[in-house]
Amino acid sequence: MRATWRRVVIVFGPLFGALAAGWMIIALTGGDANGAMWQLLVGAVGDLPGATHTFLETGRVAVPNELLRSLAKATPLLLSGLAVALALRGGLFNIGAEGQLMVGALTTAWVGYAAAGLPLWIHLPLALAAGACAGAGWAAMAGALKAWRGAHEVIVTIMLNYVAILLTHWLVNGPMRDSTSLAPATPQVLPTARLWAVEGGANFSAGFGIALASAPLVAFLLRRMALGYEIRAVGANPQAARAAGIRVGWITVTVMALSGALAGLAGAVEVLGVHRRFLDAFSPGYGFDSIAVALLGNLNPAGVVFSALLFGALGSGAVHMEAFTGTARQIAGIIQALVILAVGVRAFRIPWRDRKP
Amino acid sequence: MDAVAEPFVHMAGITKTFATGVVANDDANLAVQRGTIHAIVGENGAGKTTLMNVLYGRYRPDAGRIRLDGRDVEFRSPADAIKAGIGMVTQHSTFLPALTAIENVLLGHEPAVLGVLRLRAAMERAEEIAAKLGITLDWRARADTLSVATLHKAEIIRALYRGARILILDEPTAALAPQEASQLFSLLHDLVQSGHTVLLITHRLREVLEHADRVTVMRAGRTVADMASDSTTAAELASVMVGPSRKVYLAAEPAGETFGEEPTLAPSDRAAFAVVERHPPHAAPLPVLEVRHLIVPGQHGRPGLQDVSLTLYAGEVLGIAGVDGSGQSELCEAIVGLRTPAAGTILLNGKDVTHRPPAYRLRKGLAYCPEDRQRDGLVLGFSVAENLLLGHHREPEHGGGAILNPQRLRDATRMVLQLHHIEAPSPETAAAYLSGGNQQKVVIARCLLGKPSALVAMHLTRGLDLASVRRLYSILEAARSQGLGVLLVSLDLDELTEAADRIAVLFSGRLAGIVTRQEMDRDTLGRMMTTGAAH
Amino acid sequence: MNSESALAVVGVMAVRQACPLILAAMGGILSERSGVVNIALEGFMLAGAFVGVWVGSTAGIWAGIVAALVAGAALGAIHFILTQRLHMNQIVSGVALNLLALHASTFLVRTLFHQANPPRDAKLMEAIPVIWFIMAAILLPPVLHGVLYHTVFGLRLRATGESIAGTKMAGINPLVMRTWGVVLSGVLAAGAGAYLSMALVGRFTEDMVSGRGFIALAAVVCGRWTPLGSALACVAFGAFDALQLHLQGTVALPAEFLRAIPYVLTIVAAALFRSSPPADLGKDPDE
Repeated sequence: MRATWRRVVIVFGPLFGALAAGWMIIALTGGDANGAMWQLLVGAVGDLPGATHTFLETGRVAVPNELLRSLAKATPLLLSGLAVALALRGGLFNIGAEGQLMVGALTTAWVGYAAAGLPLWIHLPLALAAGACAGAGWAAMAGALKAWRGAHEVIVTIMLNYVAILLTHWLVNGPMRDSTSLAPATPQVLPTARLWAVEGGANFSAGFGIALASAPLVAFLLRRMALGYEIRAVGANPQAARAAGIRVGWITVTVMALSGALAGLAGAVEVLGVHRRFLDAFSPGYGFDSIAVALLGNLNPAGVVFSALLFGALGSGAVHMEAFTGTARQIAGIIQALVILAVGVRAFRIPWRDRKP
Repeated sequence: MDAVAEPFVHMAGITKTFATGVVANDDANLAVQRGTIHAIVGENGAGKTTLMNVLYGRYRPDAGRIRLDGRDVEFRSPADAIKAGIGMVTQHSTFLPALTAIENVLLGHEPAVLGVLRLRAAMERAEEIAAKLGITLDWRARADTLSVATLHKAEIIRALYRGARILILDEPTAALAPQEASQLFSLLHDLVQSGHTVLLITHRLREVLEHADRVTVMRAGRTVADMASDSTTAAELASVMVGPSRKVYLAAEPAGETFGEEPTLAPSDRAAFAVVERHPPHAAPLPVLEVRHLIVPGQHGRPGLQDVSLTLYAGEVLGIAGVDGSGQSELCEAIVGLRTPAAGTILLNGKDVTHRPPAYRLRKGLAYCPEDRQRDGLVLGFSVAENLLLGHHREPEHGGGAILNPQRLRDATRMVLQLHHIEAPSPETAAAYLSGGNQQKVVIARCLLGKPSALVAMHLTRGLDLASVRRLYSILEAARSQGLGVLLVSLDLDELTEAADRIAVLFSGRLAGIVTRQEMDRDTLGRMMTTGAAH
Repeated sequence: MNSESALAVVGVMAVRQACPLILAAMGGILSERSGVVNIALEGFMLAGAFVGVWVGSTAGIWAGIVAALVAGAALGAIHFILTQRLHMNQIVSGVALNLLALHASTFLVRTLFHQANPPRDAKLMEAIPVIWFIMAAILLPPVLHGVLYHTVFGLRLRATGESIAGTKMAGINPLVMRTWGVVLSGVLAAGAGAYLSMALVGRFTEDMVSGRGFIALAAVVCGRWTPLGSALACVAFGAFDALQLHLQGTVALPAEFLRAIPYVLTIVAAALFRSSPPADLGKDPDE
């Protein structure tokens, strides 16, 4: 019971602290802090009380558009947050989710528009798998360099981010550009590769379901599969894992590949569900925000779902807030950064740290 | 002042207990005369290094006092000791590998003008000190390019550079070739000639007899003898060092006082022994593990392994004795496959596994209990059940497999906890919260889970209480009587003479010899460990 | 345009591009040589760029520069306290500080200037000759080389990065050395940012550092944590950048390929020189 309360404080303490700090920043810079925070909330969940009321009265389900937008925003955050969390459980810092996401998105878009004549039940999974594989391959490079050359994965994944951004930028402005499009973008993906989406600009698609389903799969991998066990063992104590015959190098590559696959999938569902094509530089930094998502979620899949929903709501609420109060939406980013700082101080302390005389 | 009555360095009643409860020094006394080489000998864990760290200001004693040149002194840090003219050269070099030799000498005591190092002047001074001792050194070379012998000399020069009159050397010759060692001693004699005082911790009794003026023997934290080195012999020193036998390891119950030729055993254990003859265990001994002409390169100036051949038979305990760093880790890690040998063969149940990965060897009947249970043996954040699964996590019978079977794992864990009397609140308790003894029992239980034919166990009982030690040995006895061969590495001769059927002695990475149970004589073993002489 | 003048143009551009990289890379060296991983160079630069313009346009140029440097020092101090006193993971702290600097500077520029990209402030650029920053960038690497290898401070700083335990043994407080390393790294990186916004562009725009902090970090890795080597890497990266700008549209090779060279080289360097970082880089002082 007490442990549960402790956990609640650990998760919500930093969150409310960061929200309070955001309130103060708005107030200090001469904004209407109360109004902005209210609009942030309205933008995040919409007229939820009204919708509930309608449902109770008439039985009609009318999900507010704002809420759908928040869920849509949470989709890539959830997948890439799982990616970062999984890698960290294996003891690896994957700062490269952004690059893996971009590479995955572009590969998916290519399969989506180029592979004509396939039925939906082949084309759609194929396009999703292509994105995941591309992300996996991109991340596995960092894993392999870490395992066999000792190159630090943080340096390598940061650099691979830039390479990925430049590579996709070149491809989408050159060889893969849709000549009819004004903005640099690939051609539209074929209807057979599109994810179901809500009409009306909320950007909510079946991608959310894919993201939500990935969380229990990652949890199953970590908790119930031998591979997940090996990942956790290597992450917690590589020396003991090695002494027990686990191939630490191989696990390092595998966990990076799996992490990259999730990040690549995040890019894939954005392409197939939201944009229907690869737009140059479409990601507003999902891959970086995912680090905050993973940390606030305590590296645990259920926690990541929670924190992705939260950050999705924060992000879409901030857009609404900006439109209605003029308070710049970056306040959401500031709150996120403060959450990482507040959580990070606690998250990486090891209670059983070996004490020797 | 009366020059005879007051020794130059006088430590009286030094007691030091660590936070873990280990009493490292218990009323230890030391008197050293000016201008002598004074040796301190004792087994591993006897408290020699702790006593010297107290003198050097690294540890503050709980009780006792230190007098230096007739005055009471109190050192709060090494800096105080250095100011008082004490220098220490530790067993493992404290030079920072990436800095040059001269930078290491200067660090913390840099001569400078307005913050700019006076490197040239410092180098001249260091060179002057070195020249007096007949040492030549490349001062601009990075420390990690220097040999261990050169590093020792450089560290001595650092101590002298800081103005040391008293020099403490902790096993300076452990990693040196014989010629290098004799060079070092002629250097020490030169220092003594010029008025310095040398305190020498060593395992090698021949060095004591040849070079020291006096010798103090320590055992279990106490100083038990103090004598002139020309009035003693290696045999006498060795027997004072090891003391009377304690015989505690195999006793399942508090040992009676009837120590005979046989190890003291509880009746049930005796029964187990009656089934399996202690030596040889079978009419035709069945080798489970063979090591042939194994050569392992040493790291960090350690000797590694030089052409070691051993055979472990089913149902026997083969002890590996030797002072710390004689090649024990290299031997075990090479057998398990964690270290690649330069040459030689390793056979497991008659099959060549020299080029197989650890996982293969562990699957084929080898079990490994590593040196440091918290660092290499357990994942402290994992539950007891998950720790038992480590290495068996692909085996369905223990709840492993591509998809784990938590129910089977929980049942298996409960059974193991009960079988081996491991005190854990539940299979879900994190290993970090178990006592040291129970942690080690978990490691051993895991080793035995796969019914191995050979077990490589390092420092099985290090730092454990008596009850846990006995429990661990009764677990091992049960497995041994079923035919398990155990390679047991220990620094404790009592443990080995009680538990082992044969003892192989390592000295500087070589095999000094193998002693059978009939020939196990503590003095012989002590001599082999400290001089490398075959019995 | 003849080839000589083209070379001159590229040369001048290379120097201008390399200048902030060198300043930030020297900051990175100070931090990492003391054993503290600093992936927050990017955020430090951005903070310096914003504060410099903000204070500079209201309180005067020099106040702007001083304020930028103070902001960098403050962020460095925060990174130090979080990682060394509160035992936060050094990479997590760096990521968070980068995010904070990015969002806070964008938020503030929108809130205070009421637009995302305020116009150039001519007086900023006229008052600060670029040549001063260039002189600083040229002088700093040899000066830092001298400091690292020929002063007491440098020796102790390097010793701290190599071994906390060994440094303590020699009677030196590693936390003091790390404080200096991280705070000075903030000052230098913020100076690099101020150069970008105040001298080179004359205004602050959103995310204007755009990865230069990471390139500086890459230069530190490629230069194997030495001031001269890293400065050389910065010059090379600056030259690639200048060449890429100059050649845009004139050669068949896509500009992106040239721009990717620094990143690819860094990956290659990280894979080849496995033993070069300071031995205790990233280590918690209490472990």
